[in-house]
Amino acid sequence: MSSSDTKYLREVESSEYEHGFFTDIEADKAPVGLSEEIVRFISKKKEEPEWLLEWRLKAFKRFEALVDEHATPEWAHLTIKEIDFQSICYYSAPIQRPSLDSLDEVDPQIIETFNRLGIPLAEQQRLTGVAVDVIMDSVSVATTFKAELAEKGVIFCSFSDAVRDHPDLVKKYMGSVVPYTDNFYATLNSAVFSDGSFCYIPPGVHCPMELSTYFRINEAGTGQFERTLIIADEGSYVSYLEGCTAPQRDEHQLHAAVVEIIAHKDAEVKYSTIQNWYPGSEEGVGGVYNFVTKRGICSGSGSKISWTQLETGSAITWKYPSVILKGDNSIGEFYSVAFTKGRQQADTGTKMIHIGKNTRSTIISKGISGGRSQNSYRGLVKIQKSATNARNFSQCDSMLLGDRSGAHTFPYLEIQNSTAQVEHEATTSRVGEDQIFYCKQRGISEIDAIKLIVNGFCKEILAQLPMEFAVEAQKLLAIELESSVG
Amino acid sequence: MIPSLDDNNSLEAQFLVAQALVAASATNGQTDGFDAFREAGRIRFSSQGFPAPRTELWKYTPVRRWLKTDFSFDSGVGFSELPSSEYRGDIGSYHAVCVDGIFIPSLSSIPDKDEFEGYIGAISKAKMPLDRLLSHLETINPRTETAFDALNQSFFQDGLLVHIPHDTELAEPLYITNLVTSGSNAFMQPRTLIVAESASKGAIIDLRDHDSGITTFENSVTQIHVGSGAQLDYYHVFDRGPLSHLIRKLNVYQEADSTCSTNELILSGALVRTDLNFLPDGEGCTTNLNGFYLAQSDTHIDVHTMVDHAKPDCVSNELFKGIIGDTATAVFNGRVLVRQDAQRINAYQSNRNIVLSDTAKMFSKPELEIYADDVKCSHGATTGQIDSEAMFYLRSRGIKESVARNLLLQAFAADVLALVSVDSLRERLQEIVAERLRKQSG
Repeated sequence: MSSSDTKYLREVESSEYEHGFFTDIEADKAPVGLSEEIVRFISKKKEEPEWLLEWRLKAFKRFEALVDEHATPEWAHLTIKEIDFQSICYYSAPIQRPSLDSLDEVDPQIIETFNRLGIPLAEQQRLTGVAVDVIMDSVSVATTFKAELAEKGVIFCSFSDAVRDHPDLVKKYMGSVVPYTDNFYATLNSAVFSDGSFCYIPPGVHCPMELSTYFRINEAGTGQFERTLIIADEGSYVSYLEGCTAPQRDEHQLHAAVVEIIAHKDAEVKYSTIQNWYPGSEEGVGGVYNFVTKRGICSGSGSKISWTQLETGSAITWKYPSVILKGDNSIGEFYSVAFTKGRQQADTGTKMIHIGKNTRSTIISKGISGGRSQNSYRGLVKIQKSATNARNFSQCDSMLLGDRSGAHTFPYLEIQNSTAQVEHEATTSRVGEDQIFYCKQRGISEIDAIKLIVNGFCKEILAQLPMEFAVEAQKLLAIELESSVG
Repeated sequence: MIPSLDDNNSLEAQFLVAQALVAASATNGQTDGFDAFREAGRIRFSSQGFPAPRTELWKYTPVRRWLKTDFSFDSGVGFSELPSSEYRGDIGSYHAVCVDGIFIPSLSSIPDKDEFEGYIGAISKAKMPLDRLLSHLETINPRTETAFDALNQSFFQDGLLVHIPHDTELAEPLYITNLVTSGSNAFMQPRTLIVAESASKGAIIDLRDHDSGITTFENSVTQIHVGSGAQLDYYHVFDRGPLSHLIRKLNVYQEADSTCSTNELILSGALVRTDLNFLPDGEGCTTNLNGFYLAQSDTHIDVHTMVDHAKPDCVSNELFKGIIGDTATAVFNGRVLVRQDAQRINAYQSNRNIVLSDTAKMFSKPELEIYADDVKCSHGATTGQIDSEAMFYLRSRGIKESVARNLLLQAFAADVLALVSVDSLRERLQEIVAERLRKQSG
């Protein structure tokens, strides 16, 4: 590669985080540290029923045992500094807790934050018909379009509201896909989760709009423990969007969310994520630890769950959105772009567990690594004995933008049925010199050429995102690549 | 994590007791030059212990299940004559025989000095200076160390050395027949060292095919040093029958511009775990690693491969195919590592499997770990069944199902077997595999 080319790539690597600013909102915080008292404090603060407190306490007991066993997951291709779970504040809620119907009542500072992020909330709502459940730190402060959703019988509210208003649904489904014993971080989340989103689509309802939540980590040193529960009843459809950015911060912020999806017979859930949390400085100082457990179950026949993600932020990403294909003829999909630069580390992928007959899964994963970052795909395809005629196709491509970056692929294919057909392909290469040459001799600058090539590399995935998200995703990728190129 | 080694009843403790006896008897109170080598192995083994149940590299092979506490470490009754082998055919002049890892001159036929200037014989009797011998024996890539190769090292008494000097060619393929004596619950730890000096050339066929009908356990280590510009073909056949157990480690070290081609053929066994490690440690190396495994009845086969590209401008090609039937389990874990600054590497890996029954299991884990940017690396893994359209095509031409099935399975295996460059071995392998598959298709 020519020197200007390498220079460009170096600049790409060092491009600073654009969304690093801090919103100064007063917060109601729990004392730092984790103990049974804190768990009780959170539960009390949220006025939770007894059964939920008991569940939290069971999870907390389990978590204590895991800490004693030093059972933090270490199998991932990540270097994680030991986390002091006692130095984290487990609860923080904005003091103002209005129950609002319109945006005018929302704290103007929040609106300003979104505006600076280039997400004009108000406009977006009107233009795109997206109902946004804004999560500022841990408590939902504004929920819109509720009325329209209510008309269809769709429940879309904060997790705390769901506990209050729909305890039966929460009780029935919470922990059914990700039990509190699932893994270290899911257990922690189960004990201390602050809030999150709840969504229920009644039978036969095609959700009239895309449901969207913008998560923000805000208060310094606050762990963010979201819990999302999505239930799509028989024959329903919902598309759910989750996007995140976070203010710049020097200390590590731990984020251990849990997302559970239940798709009943013939239901379809499409879950899209853009993750752009603070990745830490060029030297690897600070940044968000994103340790997330996301799992869906296709419990009924003919159901479908599709995960699409664009991961560009976080110092460390540890995330495997999975699908349990229990119902016959059910479908699981996973589309992912993971872009790492600086000293970011990502170990991400999926799990497709085939249990039902004629189940199908598709995995398309694209990893782009620059700087000194390490980007790993780790995915499991498991075909159980009962999964007659199961079919899987996986493709994992990696692109390297620097000679100090790493791209790794760790697929696990476990097949226990003779009628299964499982294919996995992976390639690793860098931006081709010949491709850049081709573009340049047609008058396209080197920078544009690289953008073009990277964009083409990810196109398959970005095309899976809902329209307005896809536009944002493309912008984000371009910013990641270009922002520092003067 | 490691099961307590202080516990005198632990599996490891019992092996260590036996090791102390072997080490003492090997030297008979005096040094044989390998004391430090054995001791290093002992320390490594006792610090690691056998793989714990949840160790990632032993995820699908909980090896403790097969390890007993009442193993015998002594050789049993030897062989007065050479047992026949379907893989070997007529015995030529290039044939080394080892029993429990010890070279037996009386059963072997080795070319004389006029014909071959190199050395084929016991490590202990080799003319190679001790420090060179030790340096070859000790070249274990730290990234691929296991408790088993440490254990083998700690028990080292003697082994086979094949030394092909500079600019020399093995006129004929060298067959190595590895026999195990009929001691009950014998746990044998053979070691083979192959040194192909610069610009040399040869083909070696390592056979472990004699089935004595009793339970055997081998923990074998084979080390291959391929000098600069040398070309070595190496084949390993394991077919010892349903009572045999093999833990095998192959370490290949390649110098610049060398070519090493290997083919690993596993056709039976109760437990077979092989770790095939390649370290092309010079520019311009070519590494071809191929293999075929046929897992029938309740065989458990676990193939781990690792190509550690340490230097730039190298090529590696990997193809492993497997057929898994009955209640058998097969594991393929192929790792390709490209180290930082090892630019312009082309690495290809492919793993294809056919699962024949719903009680068979296949675990495939192809891995790429890349730390250099100017590389072309890819891997592919498929697991499926016999192509129904191909089957239909054959059936519609009046070929009965079992025959059609057999034909298609043979075709599946054919391309790996075709990579065997020694004609006589290839033809025999094709016949044997066809025969086994015929039995499988019924």
